[in-house]
Amino acid sequence: MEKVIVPEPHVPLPSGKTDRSLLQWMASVDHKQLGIMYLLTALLFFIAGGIEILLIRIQLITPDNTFLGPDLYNQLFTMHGTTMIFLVLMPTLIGLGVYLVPLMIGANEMAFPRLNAFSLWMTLLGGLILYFSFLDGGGAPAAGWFSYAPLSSSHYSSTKGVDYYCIGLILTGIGSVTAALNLVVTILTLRIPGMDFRRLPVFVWMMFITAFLILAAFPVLNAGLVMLLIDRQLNAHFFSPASGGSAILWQHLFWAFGHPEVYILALPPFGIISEVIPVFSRQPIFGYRFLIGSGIAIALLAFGVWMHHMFAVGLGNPINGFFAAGSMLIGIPTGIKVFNWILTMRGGSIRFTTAMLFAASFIVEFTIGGLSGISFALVPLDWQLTDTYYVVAHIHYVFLGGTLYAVFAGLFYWFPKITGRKLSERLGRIFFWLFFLGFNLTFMLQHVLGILGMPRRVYTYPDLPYFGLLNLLSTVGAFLMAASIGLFFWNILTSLRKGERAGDDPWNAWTLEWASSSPPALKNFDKVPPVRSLRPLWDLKHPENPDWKNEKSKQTRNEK
Amino acid sequence: MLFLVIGLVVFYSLRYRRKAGETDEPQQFHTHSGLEIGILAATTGVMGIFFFLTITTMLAVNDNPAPDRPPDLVIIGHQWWWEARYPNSGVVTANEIHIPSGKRLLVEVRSADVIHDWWVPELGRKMDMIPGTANHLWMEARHPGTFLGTCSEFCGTQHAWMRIQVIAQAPDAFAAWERAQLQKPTAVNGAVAAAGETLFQQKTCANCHAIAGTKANARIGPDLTHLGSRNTLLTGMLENTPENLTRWLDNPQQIKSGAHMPNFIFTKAEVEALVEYLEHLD
Repeated sequence: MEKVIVPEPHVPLPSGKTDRSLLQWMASVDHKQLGIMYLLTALLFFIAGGIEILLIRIQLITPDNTFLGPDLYNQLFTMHGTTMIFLVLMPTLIGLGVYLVPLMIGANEMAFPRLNAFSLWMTLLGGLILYFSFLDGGGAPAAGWFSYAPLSSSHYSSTKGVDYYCIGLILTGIGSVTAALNLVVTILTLRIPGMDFRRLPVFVWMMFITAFLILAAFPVLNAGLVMLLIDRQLNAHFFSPASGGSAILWQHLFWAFGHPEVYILALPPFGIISEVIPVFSRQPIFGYRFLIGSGIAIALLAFGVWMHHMFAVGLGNPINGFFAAGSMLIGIPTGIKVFNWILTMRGGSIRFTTAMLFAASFIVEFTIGGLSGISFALVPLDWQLTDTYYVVAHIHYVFLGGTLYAVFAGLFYWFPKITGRKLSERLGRIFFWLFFLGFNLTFMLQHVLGILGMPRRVYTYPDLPYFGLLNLLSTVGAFLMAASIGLFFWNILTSLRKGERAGDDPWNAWTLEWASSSPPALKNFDKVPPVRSLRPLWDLKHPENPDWKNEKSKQTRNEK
Repeated sequence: MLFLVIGLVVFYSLRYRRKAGETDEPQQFHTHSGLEIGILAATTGVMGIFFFLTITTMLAVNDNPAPDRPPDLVIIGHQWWWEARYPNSGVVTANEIHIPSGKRLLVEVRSADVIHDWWVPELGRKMDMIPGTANHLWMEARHPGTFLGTCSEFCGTQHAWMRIQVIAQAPDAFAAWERAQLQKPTAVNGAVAAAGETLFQQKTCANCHAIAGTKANARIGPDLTHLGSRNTLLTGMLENTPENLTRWLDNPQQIKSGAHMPNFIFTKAEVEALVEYLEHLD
């Protein structure tokens, strides 16, 4: 079989050592080791953020509970949100990108290996600085993950928490921007010959789009954080209305970053789902071009919707109407994606592995999150529901039911590639159903709580009808989820040592990463199968019916 | 829409599940442009309908939110209580806000410190209170009754205990309430209450609070003029009883930590005198 030789990079690969001692990991510039370290960083903070939310759920178990005081509670919910967004989901997705993108495009390394290491260590450093605030006498930041001015000003938040928040997030922000830059250049310059942009795996496409979103959104956040830090440390007045600043300016800056951030955390999962569903359905992804096109549309629209976080600010009907329209437009490409995944399953021969279970239920849970999101684009509904538990339910359906489900699907799918061993399917299935139950129990009910009038970010609540019962059930669900996550960790630990050997291509998949060994050698590939379609390994395994023949016949048809 | 998605996922999951012993690859479907365009058209159509309904409802709820006339009611958010002013009558009160039923009121909302949010679900939309800006909304209670609400924007330590009580009364009952509010509180009876009144003026209470008819006229903390007539204390946190007021004055930070009321370390007798005085202001 003919193979394409991977071109050697102009600069030799920086690390030649294969010794995997601790020091070697810390000094590593290998994209696979860095990808794993990104995932471990996320894991560390996932445990911290998880403990925070369990404490919060204990506090909310009954009305008028006194388990946590308001000060500690406000610190915990601030840290939970900040941690999960910046220190768990971001490093997870960037880590998967850094690990998989070179493998999927047939490259041996990222474009800038040293920058890659820099990005990781900046992210970790930022996170550690943020968490150091707990050890500072004043405690962690307590102004919410959104740190609205003027509550976050030194006048109303006089402890150093918000300063740690600014510095920590500026550092992780720099890490995210450099990682994005690295991904863009890698995808532009290191693709194997034959892999043009019409044959790029959907996951790589989505990382490519996401990287541009990061490049455009994070500098806005970092600028805002620097301004807030200047306000707090040097007594400037960007955000203090009493001396001519504007409290609303912070909200514009924050959400001009914050809403694209939602898509930064949603597009890579779309990519993961678009890899997992086809392989386990034994069907090519349905409507590849529409899927990519809708991804680009989402990215462009992402910058025209931020004010739907601000419909209650009182900016007037014309502005609210404009941003309502923008927010609804985003529903169109998202809807297209959902139906494309469903249609990929059609006519298939579906293997319900744990990865596929998560991917299939992702479609449903994410749709719930998407539809509850549309209810915020309907301005009058937003005027009732914003800042209630309905929003809490919505974001968790998007970030857990969406992003995290996809990450679990991706981890079960790629774990054999990363480690050489499969995760236990038996434990995986129990984990899935337990998590599914806990997740929906926790958050489905919170929609109702929000409609009944429970505001978010309250450390306690009065004993109004149903509030106690719904919160109790919600807490039970949260502990079910925690138990299932414990089972997942157990699965990883046991499978690392005793899991079934995977082989190079355990799922009979189609993209190039499965053409390398499991785990891949330091130099990913010596030779790669020729890329003539979206599914090079399908073409290899089915010489009688390769994809490129279909493509070709279509092209000739079009030319006629 | 949701049921369509769930239905399709479940149906395809069952229909196209791999059968035992099946090893052949199924026939491959790549795409179908007609179907894609159909999906595009359908989702666009649904969004169009949503957009039309949004705009019409929005205009109905929020028409002309700042007309060229003074508001009927001004509500100011403070960390962590509400100040209400009635510009037409000059009444100033705190936390329990009386309105006439059956009347569409123009309400101006402002903030004295950080961003708060006014939200009484049954009486209209929610609206942020932004320092340095005045926002307007329409509020209407169709019938008399007590309506509960809450601050809906995180505003610091005691955001949870910034509850709202709006008491809608028939117009004549409301007019009577307004007249009563303008009266100075009834003269102090008994030696204990008189001692309380003296203490109130001596112990710097008057630096933050106002009681009509006395020298206390500061607007930093809630107006206490008719405290005895209110249902709750501490912005909806506790029922208004002498026992609860005693606990609060004994050690405010233990009851509502973070609140801007310092602990004056009163003696038992002093607390008793103050409670006797304040609870008779009605």
